[in-house]
Amino acid sequence: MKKLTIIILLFLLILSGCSSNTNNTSKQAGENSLKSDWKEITAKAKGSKVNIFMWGGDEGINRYIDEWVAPRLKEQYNIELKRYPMDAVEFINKLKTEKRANKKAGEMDVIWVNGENFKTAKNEKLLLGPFTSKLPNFKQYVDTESDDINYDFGFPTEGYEAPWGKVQFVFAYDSNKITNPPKSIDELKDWVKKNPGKFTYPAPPDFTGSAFIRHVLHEKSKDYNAYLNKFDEELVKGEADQVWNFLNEMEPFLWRKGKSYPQSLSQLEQLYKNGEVWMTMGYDEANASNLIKTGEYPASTKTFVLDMGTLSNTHFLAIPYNAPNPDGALVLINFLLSPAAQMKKMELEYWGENMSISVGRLSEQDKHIVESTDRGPATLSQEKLSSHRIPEIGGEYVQWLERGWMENVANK
Amino acid sequence: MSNGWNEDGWKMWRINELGHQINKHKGLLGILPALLFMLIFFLGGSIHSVTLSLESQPVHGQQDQFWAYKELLNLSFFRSVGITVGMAAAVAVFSGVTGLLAALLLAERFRQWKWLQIIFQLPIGIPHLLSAYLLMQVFMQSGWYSRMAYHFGWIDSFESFPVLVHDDWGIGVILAYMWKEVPFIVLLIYPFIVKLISDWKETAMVLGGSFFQTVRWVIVPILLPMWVGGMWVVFAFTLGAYEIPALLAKTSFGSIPVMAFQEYSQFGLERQPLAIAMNLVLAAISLLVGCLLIYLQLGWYKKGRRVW
Repeated sequence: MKKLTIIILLFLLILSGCSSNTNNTSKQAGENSLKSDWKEITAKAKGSKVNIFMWGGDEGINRYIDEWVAPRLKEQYNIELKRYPMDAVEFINKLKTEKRANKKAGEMDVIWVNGENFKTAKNEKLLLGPFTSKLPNFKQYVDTESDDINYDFGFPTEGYEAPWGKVQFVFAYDSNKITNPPKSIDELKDWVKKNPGKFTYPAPPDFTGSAFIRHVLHEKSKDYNAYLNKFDEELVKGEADQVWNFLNEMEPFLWRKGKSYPQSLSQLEQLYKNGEVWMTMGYDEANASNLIKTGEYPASTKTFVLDMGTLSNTHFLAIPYNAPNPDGALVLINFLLSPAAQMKKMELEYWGENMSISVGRLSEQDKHIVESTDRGPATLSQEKLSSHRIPEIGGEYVQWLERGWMENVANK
Repeated sequence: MSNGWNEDGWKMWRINELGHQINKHKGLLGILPALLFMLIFFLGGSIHSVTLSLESQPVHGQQDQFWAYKELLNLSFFRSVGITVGMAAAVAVFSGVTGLLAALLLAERFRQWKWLQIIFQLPIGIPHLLSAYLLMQVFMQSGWYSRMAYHFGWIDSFESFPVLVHDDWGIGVILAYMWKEVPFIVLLIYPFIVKLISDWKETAMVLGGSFFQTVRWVIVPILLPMWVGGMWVVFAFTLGAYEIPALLAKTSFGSIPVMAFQEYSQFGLERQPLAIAMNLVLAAISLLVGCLLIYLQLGWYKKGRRVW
């Protein structure tokens, strides 16, 4: 009987938890913030607490937030920053549930999103609204005209998210074993045929493997730019066969004769570390340098991009519709877009990732700092990277190709 | 024909009867919390899953309730069902047999060696994900064992080490599962075997039976329902588990939990019903196998528990 009472009590507790928190303040606060000017926003944010929910899988990124950003935010704006590690899929699901339950006061002030997550969030009205025009640093330093700011995997951003950083896909190789890395997808295939067993890519739908097959599409397609528009199944159906043929021709010369593929990027990296394969890849131009520094990759590791370019994408910060402290969120995002914060983020010590603000808009002094920033021995120059950049295509195409790969390459 | 007195009597009788009934079924009250838990979470979850899998999808402008299930009606999914079920059955049977032999040996020969039993219990505390990862680290072609073999000159290159991870036959998957499930079976049946041996050994010896005869005529008939039940638990678990095939199976292996996870998390919201439908198919299969086993067991009881 005692047990039953406890269960019933617990049940009531859960129920009461559901019914509380129905105050209206948070949502209105959000709408008010979007109407206020910057002075009012910073004044109201003073002394508040702001919660950022973000993927927490990288030590360097976490340290950047906890050790560099948080103390400065406290010092300059008297705002307390708290970081909550959580995968994007999870916090978007959480927001969806909150929206369905009509929960007006949430917990998240700033979330780190891009691509599919952002699309879901915006389509399901989980975001506060267009806010980037409020931010002084966005207006001053971000190239507001460029496609990689205005589109997120082919989906218009419309000010609902502010760019935090950019990453570019690069291939990495061991220069002791390879002297002339391939310059195109076709040259890569020739190299693979000459060096059987020394190359492979993670099986899509792994993020990196999926990006690899898009490079094949990029070089085989008649008009890659057509993929930046709205999803058209006929278009991709017509050109996908070339991609599958190319990958199937390469397959017998891959690692393990293509009978199996690494299931994730970390498995591919493991193979590279063990010397089973001689090349790896990743959607992060500074990753190889980072891993050389920690001693996981051989010091002879170098990176390369293809002559026709490699994919690059931007990742963003957004504010949920029910953020408890929208003013604090705006101040934090503005701070993260400041030249000082962006340049620090680029240093290998913390993150080593490219800036989302435009180098051309920086002061002469800052430009000089950016140019002299040591991004590590294996990282290509800023110029080389930015002149070999291709945009990401829409999420529906990405998913279509991933499914197609399973059917036409893996199961063939 | 009713007057006040009669009605009161009737009431009294009913109250008495009610008290009597409550008293009689007092045991039921004890399981109420568990029953409520079951109803709220398990049944609620199941019904929710079924409705999710029936979420209609506009196909060429038409709403189709059974879209997800129709999508599954193809050869490659049937092949995947075969592989997933076959794999789970293989893991269950191998673990069951190995576990039974190990438990018998432990109980008969090594009862004094406590450390051996501890070694057998060790893998139970290790999560499946970690066990898959460990197995990969030691058995891959550039893993520990391959390096050791290379170091001692047993193989000329890493490539000549046998392929045990991402292999064609799922050997790595079966090995990883057995490493986890054999100890489970041992844990389940070992105490009973010890008890049965101590209860029956002398009787059997007096009657002139050897140890193997004791096993055949006493231990197995008493243990069989529990042993088969344990194997069914392993089967049902393996059928739905994701981590080990995700890490250790080859890309085109076609394990349904892995496919369902990809559909659920990678291919967009509109394909989520498909993932749920896949899991419901698996749940139906494991339920079916469970029912079949219960049916066979009842028949076996009727026939007097003969094993062979």
